[in-house]
Amino acid sequence: MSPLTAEAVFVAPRTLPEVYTALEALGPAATLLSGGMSLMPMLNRGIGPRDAIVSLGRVDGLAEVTLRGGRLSIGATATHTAIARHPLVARSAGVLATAAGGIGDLQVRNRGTIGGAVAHGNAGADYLTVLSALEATVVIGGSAGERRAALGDFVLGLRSTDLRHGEVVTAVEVDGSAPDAAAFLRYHRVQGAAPTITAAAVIRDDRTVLAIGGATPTPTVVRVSSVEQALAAVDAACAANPLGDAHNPPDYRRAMAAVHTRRVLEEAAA
Amino acid sequence: MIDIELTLNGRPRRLAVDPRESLVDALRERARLTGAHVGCRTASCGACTVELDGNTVKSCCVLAAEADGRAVRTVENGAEPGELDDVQVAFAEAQGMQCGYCTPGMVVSVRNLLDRIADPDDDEITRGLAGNLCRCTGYVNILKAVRLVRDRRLGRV
Ligand SMILES: Cc1cc2nc3c(=O)[nH]c(=O)nc-3n(C[C@H](O)[C@H](O)[C@H](O)COP(=O)(O)OP(=O)(O)OC[C@H]3O[C@@H](n4cnc5c(N)ncnc54)[C@H](O)[C@@H]3O)c2cc1C
Ligand code: FES
Ligand code: FES
Repeated sequence: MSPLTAEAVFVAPRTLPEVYTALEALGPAATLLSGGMSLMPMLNRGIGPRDAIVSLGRVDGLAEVTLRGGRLSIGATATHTAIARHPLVARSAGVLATAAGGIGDLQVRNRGTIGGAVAHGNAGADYLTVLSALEATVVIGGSAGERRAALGDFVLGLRSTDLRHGEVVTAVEVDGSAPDAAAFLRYHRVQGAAPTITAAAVIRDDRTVLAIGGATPTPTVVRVSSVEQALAAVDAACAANPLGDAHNPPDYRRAMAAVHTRRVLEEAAA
Repeated sequence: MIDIELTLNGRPRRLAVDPRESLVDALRERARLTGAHVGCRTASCGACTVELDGNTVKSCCVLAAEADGRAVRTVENGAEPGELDDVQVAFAEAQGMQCGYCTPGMVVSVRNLLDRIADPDDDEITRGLAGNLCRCTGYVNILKAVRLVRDRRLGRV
């Protein structure tokens, strides 16, 4: 660990307006901290500024899960553990609970939050995939007010989002009525490692939405008319925007994307 | 430096910490509780596992400042050196360790698991310990230790 030299600040406001004020006052040096499960490993490696931390951990009510006006709203600091167990999530969006319960390990789920995962925007992240298939909306707050964005418009690329400095993801919303059927699959080669492929399918009366994460920089989302059409669409997306690393090169991810497209659609339809 | 007040192993405790300091460093270097180990600082290995408000966390990736006003329970759990609880005894008897580096984190996770699930099956034990890596034992004797303490508590052995 690099030596701690300059003076540092840590603030943990109790309200969102105070968070926005702190972010504005501290400027670009400010680092927003939620569960820390993606951020802290980087700070510990010396990546990124860490002399001005603004924590969301004490904001009152930010972890709340509510069902209002037909929308299920999940507060940004709801942990993976809380989402996996929440009865409202189970009732309205069971696949989301399934996805949350499979992330990392217990200690990671006890700290990591949905807002942090969405803001981090990592390819293949379980939430991005399942929330894409659930056609989620991201609620973003800032000193200028609140705005909403479809998840697909919010996540712009690999770990890149439409979040501007001073803005905070405050909640994620999905349809509060449970889909007719749904399935979620995660495929990882080593236990504890990030998933290679995540796949979600959500069937409602007038549409089936498929999302495949991990084969392209952002989830590939397909309105499904047939398994063959979905396979072709996913394969075309993988060819156009390949993603890969030494352990899981692009060709391998592309092949696994096809396998999991078929599998998740079959499982949802079963 | 900032002052934090926490309940540490059941007792109120005040610590002066750097705002960037991890909880594991504050525990080891300021509170002199060296049970929680540092293996990776990337939330991967679980050697630094402690309970924060009753939930297991990897204390290398929690800021000490975040523990202000909260309850932290470490592997020491207020005991004197040499005083072992039934989980630690079972690890010793089943040889659930070799080098012992992972053991404090394992013990904290096992205590937490058995608090949540009194009679876990092998699948539940494995999932409860998925965040704790051991490079020595191959986990077989760790599972034995957990089954042993479970069965003793339930009066089966
Ligand atoms: C061992 C391990 C295994 C993991 N396995 C998986 C896995 O299988 N699948 C998976 O999907 N993820 C996995 N993760 C990542 C985990 O899900 C993280 O919790 C998540 O990516 C980030 O959430 P966080 O609350 O921890 O955010 P943090 O780490 O606190 O923050 C992440 C980033 O988002 C920003 N941020 C945080 N909250 C907000 C907000 N509300 N508004 C705006 N910006 C914000 C931060 O500034 C930072 O840049 C794993 C992590 C670890 C350590
Ligand atoms: S040192 Fe904390 S998880 Fe490895
Ligand atoms: S006993 Fe050596 S790492 Fe577990």
